[in-house]
Amino acid sequence: MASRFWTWLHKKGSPPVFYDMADRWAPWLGWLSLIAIAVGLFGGLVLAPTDYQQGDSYRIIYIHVPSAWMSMFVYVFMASMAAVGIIWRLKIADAMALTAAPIGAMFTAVALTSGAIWGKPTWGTYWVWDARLTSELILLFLYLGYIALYNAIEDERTAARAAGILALVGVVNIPIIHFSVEWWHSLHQGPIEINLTEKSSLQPSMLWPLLTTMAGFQMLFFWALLRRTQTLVLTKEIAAKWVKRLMESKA
Amino acid sequence: MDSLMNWFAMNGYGSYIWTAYALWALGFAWLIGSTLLGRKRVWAQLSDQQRRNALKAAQGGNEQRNSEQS
Repeated sequence: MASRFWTWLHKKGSPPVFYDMADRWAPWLGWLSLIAIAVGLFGGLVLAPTDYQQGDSYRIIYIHVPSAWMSMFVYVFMASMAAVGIIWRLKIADAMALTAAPIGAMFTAVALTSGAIWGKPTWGTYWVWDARLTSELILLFLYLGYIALYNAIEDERTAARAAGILALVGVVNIPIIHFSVEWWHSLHQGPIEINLTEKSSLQPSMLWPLLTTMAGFQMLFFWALLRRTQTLVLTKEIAAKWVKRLMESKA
Repeated sequence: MDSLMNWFAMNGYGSYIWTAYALWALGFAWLIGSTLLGRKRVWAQLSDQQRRNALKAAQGGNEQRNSEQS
């Protein structure tokens, strides 16, 4: 059983099998994400009504919340891939963890900047050193630290392992970010409650654009992840036979 | 036209909203651009390598023929 799982994992994770799978999925993810983001932002910036408390400034929510969500999602994804790479020595998992890091850092940077700009008209300040904002800033440093550590170590396996352990330790930060607004007093508002049967804390005309952009961000992440991992794998295996066959089939 | 200007002004919050969206657009442009560029580069590298291999094979073939003739 265990050995069959091992065989399955390594077959699915073998570079040529991964490459084909990514080629099949990436175009769908890419185009659907662009459509979802365009529709979601049109809904958020044009169709959704003005908020009765915050006026129009609340419209920053349509990039802030999806980016903040992705900053955490990508981190958990990266740490999981790093764990798979460490435990089962799967190279494709290491490659995906490394690929996810700069994408996650970008989402974190967007969440931080859009949040700061939103803070000015709503709280009267761009920045406060409270738990939510500080832990999100630490998340950015975790991503950057992961990338720096990976690049600082020459031996590929040691680099993946050392950076992977850093990523795993950093997972502690994720529940801190999520629950910070409940555990500590903060200017930051609590989470949006989405309830399908009863009333959500955001009305439907404001909520659907948010969910649509979130889906778009999510798909764009997977598109970029697959495409960038393909590039990374090709660079590393440039001399391999399957790459030669791939070249011939594309020519 | 007026309604478009009104929309753009966002009841006075325009500068905040559009600055935030501009930074987001910059981040996404980087993500999409660098992904596509990296892909283009590696394919160029691959076809370059293939051309060199073909050339080497052709040259090797010629040398062999020359040595057979002499």
